[in-house]
Amino acid sequence: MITTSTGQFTDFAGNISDIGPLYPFVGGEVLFFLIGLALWIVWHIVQINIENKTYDDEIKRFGNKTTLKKIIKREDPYNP
Amino acid sequence: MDNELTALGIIFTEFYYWLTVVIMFFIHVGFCMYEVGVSRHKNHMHTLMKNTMLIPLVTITFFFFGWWIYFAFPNGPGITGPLLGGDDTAHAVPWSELMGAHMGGAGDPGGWARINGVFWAAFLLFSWTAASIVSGSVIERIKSGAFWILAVGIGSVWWIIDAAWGWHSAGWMVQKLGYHDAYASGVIHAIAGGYALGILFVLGPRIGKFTADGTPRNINPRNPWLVTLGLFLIYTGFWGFYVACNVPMWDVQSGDGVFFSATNIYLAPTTLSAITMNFLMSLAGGLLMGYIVSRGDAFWTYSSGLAGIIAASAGNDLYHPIQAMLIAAVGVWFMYKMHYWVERTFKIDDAVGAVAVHGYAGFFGVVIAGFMLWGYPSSPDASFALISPWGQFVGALIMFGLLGFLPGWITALIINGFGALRIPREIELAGLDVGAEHDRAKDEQGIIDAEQQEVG
Repeated sequence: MITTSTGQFTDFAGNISDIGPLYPFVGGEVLFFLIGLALWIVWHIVQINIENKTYDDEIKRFGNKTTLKKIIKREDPYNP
Repeated sequence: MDNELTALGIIFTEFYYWLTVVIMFFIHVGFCMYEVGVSRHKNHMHTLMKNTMLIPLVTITFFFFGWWIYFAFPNGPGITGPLLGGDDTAHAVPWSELMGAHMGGAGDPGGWARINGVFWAAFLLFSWTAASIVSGSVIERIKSGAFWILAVGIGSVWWIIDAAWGWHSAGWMVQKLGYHDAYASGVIHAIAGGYALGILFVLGPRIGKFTADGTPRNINPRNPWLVTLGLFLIYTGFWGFYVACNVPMWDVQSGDGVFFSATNIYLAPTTLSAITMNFLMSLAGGLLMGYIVSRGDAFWTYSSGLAGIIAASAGNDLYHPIQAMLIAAVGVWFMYKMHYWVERTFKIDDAVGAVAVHGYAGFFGVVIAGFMLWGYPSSPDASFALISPWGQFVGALIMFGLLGFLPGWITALIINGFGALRIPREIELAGLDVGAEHDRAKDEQGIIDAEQQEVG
């Protein structure tokens, strides 16, 4: 019989409230927190880089005076 | 959970808050539709994404530190309670076993196992609301990355500090000032409005908003139907917001015996009937005044319904329904006039009127509750200060100014210092979606060419 378990219980016998936490890898909460915190900060850094690069590319593609005038004219409801 | 009656009470409370979360989700659907409806076609997708992505960011940060702040800071500046490890915060730190699925027992002496998750989620939905209020006012020119940092600030830090001060049943503002704000005129709305105003001062108006001599131009909502639907959904979600501010079942008897009642957030008795009537009467008062003051403008009339509820919310646990209606009407008149005065005087471009609807109406709501409920107990604890006009006025200043405007303004200044607040001028002119729209048109053209080739 395999007894390996990521949880603290392998059956629901006895007093259920004695089980306490139901999730796997109990005891690793601080590590989970640190991983989550790091991912959150990294996400912001990656996102800001992506956003800035997108703007740079778009300014190169659409930022000249003639193109901008054409785009703005398309928004004009009186000159569809 | 060792007998049926206890189990019924606990599971009912758990289900009650769970339901409020589901209903409050509509607020966010509404905010997304509303913002997209107001924005111009060239900015639709970015506007939608800017609002949508505050959901995951505020959610995870509210898990990491927002929930802990609520229980760690009720004693206020300089006199904070047990920050870590004390009984008050043990269930709310992100590494607590009680922040996950838990069956209670010896590891849960405070009895939080069942309620922690749903209570956390109800507060989280308030957090989304606070951030979403700010989102609308800054559309069409703020960098998404900057906004999301600001959203985490209001959603997971500043508003929850004010909740710890003015909403927690042991908050120092409740104890010392007699602060009363049952449905968050100040705790959510004034602070979010103030925060948005602080950002707007640094961000500046959209190109074309003001003429060379400073006269404001209207940048009207591009899709009034989406705006309408969005605001209706916000009204709908607001029901959940109100109910989530209550405790559904609590023994409110202070002397001998037992008397179970619904309570407000301060554990003082009220009824669901009272807040239901007052919600609807304040909505009605807001709509009626909004229609008159805006001369039937649909955008402002709908917004005024919301502002009416917000203006009466601080005392809607206790007001008579007709009082709620009248307060809502006066609050709407005040916020509408303030919006245009601030726009003309300070050249502020609040794209959706969020500072007015939430900030000014919320400020008004907190102050007026001080006069209407003067001398009422702010809490079941008889040692706390009574409700008073000065306590409420100081409270409104703290919410709108100290915890709202000031952090918004300072954070925006710092981000702006890095050149990371506002999108480049060319992008603002071309539209935030210019690249995506162009690529989409190219994709469609490719398909059309292929289909024509197929026809031969």
